[in-house]
Amino acid sequence: MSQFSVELRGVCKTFPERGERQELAAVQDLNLQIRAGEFFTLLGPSGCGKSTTLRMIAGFETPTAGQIRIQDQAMNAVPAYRRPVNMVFQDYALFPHLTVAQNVEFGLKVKGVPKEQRDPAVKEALELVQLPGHGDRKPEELSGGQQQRVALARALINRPAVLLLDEPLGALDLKLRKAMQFELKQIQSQVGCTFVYVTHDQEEALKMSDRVAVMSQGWLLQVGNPSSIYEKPATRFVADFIGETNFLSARVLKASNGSVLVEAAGREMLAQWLNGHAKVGEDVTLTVRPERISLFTANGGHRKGRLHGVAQDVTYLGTDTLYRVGLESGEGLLVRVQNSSGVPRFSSGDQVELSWDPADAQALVE
Amino acid sequence: MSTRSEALLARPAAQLEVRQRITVLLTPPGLWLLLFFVIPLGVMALFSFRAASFGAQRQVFTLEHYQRFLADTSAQRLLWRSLLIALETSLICVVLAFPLAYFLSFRAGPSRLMLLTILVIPSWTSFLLRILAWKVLLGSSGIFNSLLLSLGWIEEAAPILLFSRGAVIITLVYIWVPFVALPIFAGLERINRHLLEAAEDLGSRPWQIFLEVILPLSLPGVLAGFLSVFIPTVGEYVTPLLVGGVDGIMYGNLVQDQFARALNWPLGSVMSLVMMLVVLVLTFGLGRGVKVTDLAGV
Ligand SMILES: Nc1ncnc2c1ncn2[C@@H]1O[C@H](COP(=O)(O)OP(=O)(O)OP(=O)(O)O)[C@@H](O)[C@H]1O
Ligand SMILES: [Mg+2]
Repeated sequence: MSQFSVELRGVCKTFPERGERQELAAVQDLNLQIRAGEFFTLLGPSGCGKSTTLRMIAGFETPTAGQIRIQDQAMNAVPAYRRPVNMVFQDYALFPHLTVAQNVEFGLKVKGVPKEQRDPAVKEALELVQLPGHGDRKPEELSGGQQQRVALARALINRPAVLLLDEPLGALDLKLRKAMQFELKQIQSQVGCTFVYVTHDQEEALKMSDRVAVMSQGWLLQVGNPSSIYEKPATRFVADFIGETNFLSARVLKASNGSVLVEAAGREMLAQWLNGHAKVGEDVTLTVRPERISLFTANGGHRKGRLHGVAQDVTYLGTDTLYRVGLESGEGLLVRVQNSSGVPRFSSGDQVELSWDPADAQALVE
Repeated sequence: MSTRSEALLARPAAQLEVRQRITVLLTPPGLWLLLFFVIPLGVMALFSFRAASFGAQRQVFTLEHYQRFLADTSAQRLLWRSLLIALETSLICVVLAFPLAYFLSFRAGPSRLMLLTILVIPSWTSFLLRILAWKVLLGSSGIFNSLLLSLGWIEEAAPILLFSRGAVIITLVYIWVPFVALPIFAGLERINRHLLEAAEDLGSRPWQIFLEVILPLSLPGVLAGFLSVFIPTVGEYVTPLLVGGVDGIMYGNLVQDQFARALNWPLGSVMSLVMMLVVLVLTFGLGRGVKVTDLAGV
């Protein structure tokens, strides 16, 4: 048996044209290998095909091409009700005519598990999601967060090999969302099954996942752990989508294997190759994360290695302050500075100097 | 309620404004109900105590007609029969309409609205015409008799088809099926499709999804459809008049007779009130546990 819990081999999904709508390729040649016990996240903007991918794993959509394997078994011909996976829906999809306990035991009941075995399992599942004693309530009497927990218990009671979650926290407020993110991770470490999680919230993805797959317009752009996705984005889209970043157009002056000397914003500067190499004289894009840039008070003299600019917009964010700095070259840079006592504050219109570690500047080949 | 509208309501002036608006909105239907429902009902209740329809006896109030009704076992038997006919009609309607509504909601896809329209189009023709059409179909030279005759299944035209209890039920079912299909369809449409996927995801086979999720969730619509046939059918008198014959007579014919032929309005009023009471009790008995809002969702 392979170590993969879920494997997608060249999976495509095309929705047929209907009426005015054209044929639509929702998922294109997707290859993924999800390891057993992993917290794996599908991340991407709205409409990129995340839900479609999840629904193909669950068995609600049939791939147009390619193969889906779960625990080393080909699943294409297996109906949803026989797949060893369970799903948590964004709208929870709790049965309104059943009590919480009846919802939770549903999967066992339809499989013919006798009541004496169902009852303790329901109790255990409700305890797992911290809702003991809520079994007799109706779903409509519960808060959104509690309904979410019931949905989770209803899925986990079946002991699936893979739990599929489609934006499960999308309907919750920020505070509850954060609490549930933490709790989901805890529950996963308790039950040990593979989680395949769908979200369009990059912060949530980075925070919770063991590995993240970034998708755009049906294509898989990059798979990796959160830090590699954030620090070594494979394309401009990923760099832009995952957190904020700055882009400067640049030209290669001198290139070696590891680093590159470019001309950007009217100066020479060093950067690291990110996703390939370019030859001398070719155009590349320089990217620097806003939090990796330091701001200094301008004191007349041109210090080596520093750029000059004018603070334009100043946004106070509590722990940080976000500046938009207009450079002499006409380009703009976002700079995020942590607020602490030793750090100077600037206001709109102030002259500033900027610098960053060459290790934090990356050259993107497009 | 949003905090904004709560804040608005906290202002006395705004409270008044909201109340005024509700009053304005409810006045026309309220007036309508008063004029065409409450007042006639009151008049009828009044009449049920009068000694006679006309003349001096009109001013005498008595329980005589109630006693007469209680003693009249044939009227009671006819009421019982009408309830049974209404029950059979509505049950057959539900049984026929459910698969229809199910098909429209779950299988018909984008053409469902067109199919729904086609289903309702026959009801645009006059009620009487549709009953008379059945008279032709079921008559001794009608299509059913001719067919059976030409197949050699029967020796002579079977009169049983027309002017019978069966003819009344067939005709009523034909008339009502679309009106039962509509609330059932509406009920099925309201079922969140994710629930079906959730059920399948949890291991339900198609028949289990139907029994465990679709059927229970469709019950309010089914009940609404059932009642929308049952209630008017108990008092039905046109259909039995046209296709019922002696055998298919219903309680409504008796009531109509009291008003139109015997001119015994007090007794007619008593009969009507009794029927209303019975239907009311049955409806509430059935409707217990089903929220009015579910029925209103039709
Ligand atoms: N049943 C369907 N029929 C036709 N097109 C569909 C269907 N389901 C999804 N699509 C289309 O496929 C594309 C991908 O949809 P999908 O739901 O997978 O996106 P998503 O990444 O989950 O987006 P979101 O974050 O908005 O949920 C979209 O353009 C969508 O309109
Ligand atoms: Mg989605």
